[in-house]
Amino acid sequence: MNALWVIFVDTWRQSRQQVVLIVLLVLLALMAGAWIALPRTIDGPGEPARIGLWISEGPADFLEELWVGTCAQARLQREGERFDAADLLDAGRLELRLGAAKAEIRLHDTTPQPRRVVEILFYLLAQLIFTLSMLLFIGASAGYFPGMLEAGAIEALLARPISRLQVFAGKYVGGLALYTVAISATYLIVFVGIGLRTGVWHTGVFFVLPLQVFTAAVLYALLAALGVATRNGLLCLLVGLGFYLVVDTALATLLQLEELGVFAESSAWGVAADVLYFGLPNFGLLKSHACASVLAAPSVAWPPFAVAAAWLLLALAFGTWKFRRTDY
Amino acid sequence: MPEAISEDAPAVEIRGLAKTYRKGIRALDGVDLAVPRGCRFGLLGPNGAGKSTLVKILISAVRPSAGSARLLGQDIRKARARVRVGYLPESPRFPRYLDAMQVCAYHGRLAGLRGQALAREVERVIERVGLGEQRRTRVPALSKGMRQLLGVAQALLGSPQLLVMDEPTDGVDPIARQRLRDLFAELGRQGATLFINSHQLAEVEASCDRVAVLHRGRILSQGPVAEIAAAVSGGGLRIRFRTGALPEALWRSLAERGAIREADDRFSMPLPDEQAAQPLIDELRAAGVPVYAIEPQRRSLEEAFLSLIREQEPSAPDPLSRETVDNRKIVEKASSVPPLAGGTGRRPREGDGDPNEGESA
Repeated sequence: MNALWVIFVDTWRQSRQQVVLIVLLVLLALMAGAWIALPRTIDGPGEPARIGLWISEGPADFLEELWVGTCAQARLQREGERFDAADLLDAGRLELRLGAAKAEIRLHDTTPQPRRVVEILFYLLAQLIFTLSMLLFIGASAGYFPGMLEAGAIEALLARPISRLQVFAGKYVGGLALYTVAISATYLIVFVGIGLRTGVWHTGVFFVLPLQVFTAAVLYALLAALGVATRNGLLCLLVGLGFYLVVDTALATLLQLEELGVFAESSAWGVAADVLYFGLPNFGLLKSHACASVLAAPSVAWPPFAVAAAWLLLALAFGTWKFRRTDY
Repeated sequence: MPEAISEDAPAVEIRGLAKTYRKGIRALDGVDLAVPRGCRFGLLGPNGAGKSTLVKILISAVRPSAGSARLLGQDIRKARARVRVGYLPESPRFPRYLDAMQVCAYHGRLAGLRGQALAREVERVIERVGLGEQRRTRVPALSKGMRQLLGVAQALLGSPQLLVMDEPTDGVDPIARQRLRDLFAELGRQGATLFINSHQLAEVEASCDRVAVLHRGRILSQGPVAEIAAAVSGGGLRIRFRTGALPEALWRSLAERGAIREADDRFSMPLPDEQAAQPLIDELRAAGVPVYAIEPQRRSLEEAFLSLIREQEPSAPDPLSRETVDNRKIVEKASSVPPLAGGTGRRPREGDGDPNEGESA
C-alpha cells in the first residue's frame, strides 16, 4: 500500500510539471471565472425575478425551452425508458416520446424560470468543461506510462521491492485522481461563484462528476494499455485524441446524416449503427448523459455505460497483463 | 507462508537460468552461478553474451524462460527478494521534474524508508557519491556523469546487502571513477556484496575479487580473478625482459618460443615459472646481449578473458599476438586506470605479492 501511495504521489508531482495540465487548469479557471462574472441578479420578491444574464436578455425563452427539452430526455432515461440505436435513428419516434415528456414537465414542474435559466447555463458549462477537460486530460496523461517505461527508468523502479501491479495501479489511480480533483475543484468554484452571484445554489451540477470521471477513466485506461504496449507517448497522444474525437463525433454525425435521409434506403445502416452503439465506448452519449445529470440526476443510459465499462475493464486487464509479462 | 531469510545463503544463486526472447533469440542457456556474500563480483562477457539479460532477470525486469535464481536466499519472483538490494541500471534515467534529492527521496520511499530515517539516508548517499553541491539541481541540468553518480546514490539507499550495478563507472570522469572505486572497496569492507556487470575489464579487475565470464549465454569460467587468469594460462607466467639490442637470429629463436617484441628493447615471453627464466638469461648473456631488467607478469584478466573467448570463437583476437598486445597498450594508456600493477591493469590489493617485483640483472 505504501509503494502504491508513493507512485500515486509521484504521478501528481509529474502532472504538476506538465504544460498541458497547467493549460487545463488555467482554462478551467478562466472558464469558471467568466461564467461566474457574467450573471447579474436583479432581486425581486422571493426568488430572483429576473437574472440579468447577458445571454438571457433576449433568448431567455429559448434557454427555458432547452431546459425543458433536456429535462424531458433525462427523465425518460431515469424512468427506465431506453434510447437505443433505433430510437436515435428514428427522429420522428424520438420526437414523439420527448414531446410527451415535455408536455408533462410544462404541466407539473414548478421550477421558476430564472432558476431554469441558471440550471441550463450550468448544463451548457458542463458540456464545455467536459469536452475541453477530456481533450486536455488526454494530452496530459498520454505520456504518463511511456515516460515511466523509458529504458533506464523502469529497471530502477522494478528493482524496488514492489510488485508490477502496484506500479501500474499507482500510476493509473494517481493520474485519474488528479483529473478528478481538478474537475471537482472547477465545478465547486462554479457552484459557489454562481450561487453567490445569483442566489441559485444548484447542487445538481455535481451530478455531472461521476460520469465525467468514468469517461476519463475509460480514456485513461485505453491510454495506459496503449502506453504499456507501445511505450510511445506521441502515439498515445495521437491515438487518444483520434479515438476520442472520432468516437465522440462519429455516431452524432452519422445520425444527423440519417435525419437528412442520406441513408434512407440503406438496409445495412441499421446494422452499422448497432455495431457503433454497442461495440464502441460512445463518449458522445456519455457526455450527453453526464451533462443531463446536471438537470435531472441521475441520468444514465445503460447500453453506452455498459459498453464503456466493458472497454474500461478490458483495457485495464490488458494493460496490467501486458505490463506484468513484458521484459524491460 | 513467508520464506525464512537465510543469512548463510549466497548473495546470488542461479540455477539453470535460461532466457529465450521472441523470435527464438536465446540470451541465456542454462546459467549456473553462485556469488558468495561479501565478495566483489564481476560479470564479464563480449557484447551479446547475455550479461544485461542476466542482471535484469535478477532484478525482475526480465522474466526467465527456465531455471531459478535467489538473491540473499530469496526467490527473485518475490518482491521481498529485492528489499536489501540496490540496483544501478545502465544509463539510468530519472524523472526530469525531480532534483537529485527528490530522486533519492522517491527511491528511498519505494525502498521502504520514511520520515527522519529517509531524510538522513538521502543526505548520506548524496554526500557519499559527491553530489552535495548538486543536491537541488534538477535532473535535466545534471551531466551524464552526475546522473550516473545519482544512479549510484539511489542504489545505495537503505544500505543494501547486495548492490547490482550495470556499468557503474560508465561516463564518469576519472576523479569520480576513483571515488566510486573507493566507495566499492569500502562497501566490500563493510560486508556488502557487489555484483558488477561491465565490459571494462580493467575496471572489473580493479574492483572485483571474483569474476565470471559469460559467452553466448553460458558461463565459461567463474572464480577468483587470480585463479581464472592462472588457470587459463596453465599456471604459467609472462616475463618481460629489458635488454640490449637482440641479434636477428636470436630474436627469431625467441619468437619461435612465443616471445613478443615490445618497444624500447623489451620483449616478453611466456614461461612455466620464474625458474625457467634463468636459462634464458644465460642464453642472452652467452649471445653478448646485456640484460638490464626482468619483470615477472601475471596473466591479466583481459588476456584470460580473450583466451577463454578465443577457445569458443577462433576469430576472436589472440591474447598473445603482437597486435593484441599493442592494442591493449593503447587501451591501457587511454584508460584512466592508475599505474598498472605488473602491466595487468590491476591495482594491488591486500594479500597480493608485490606486483612490481622484479630483479635487476
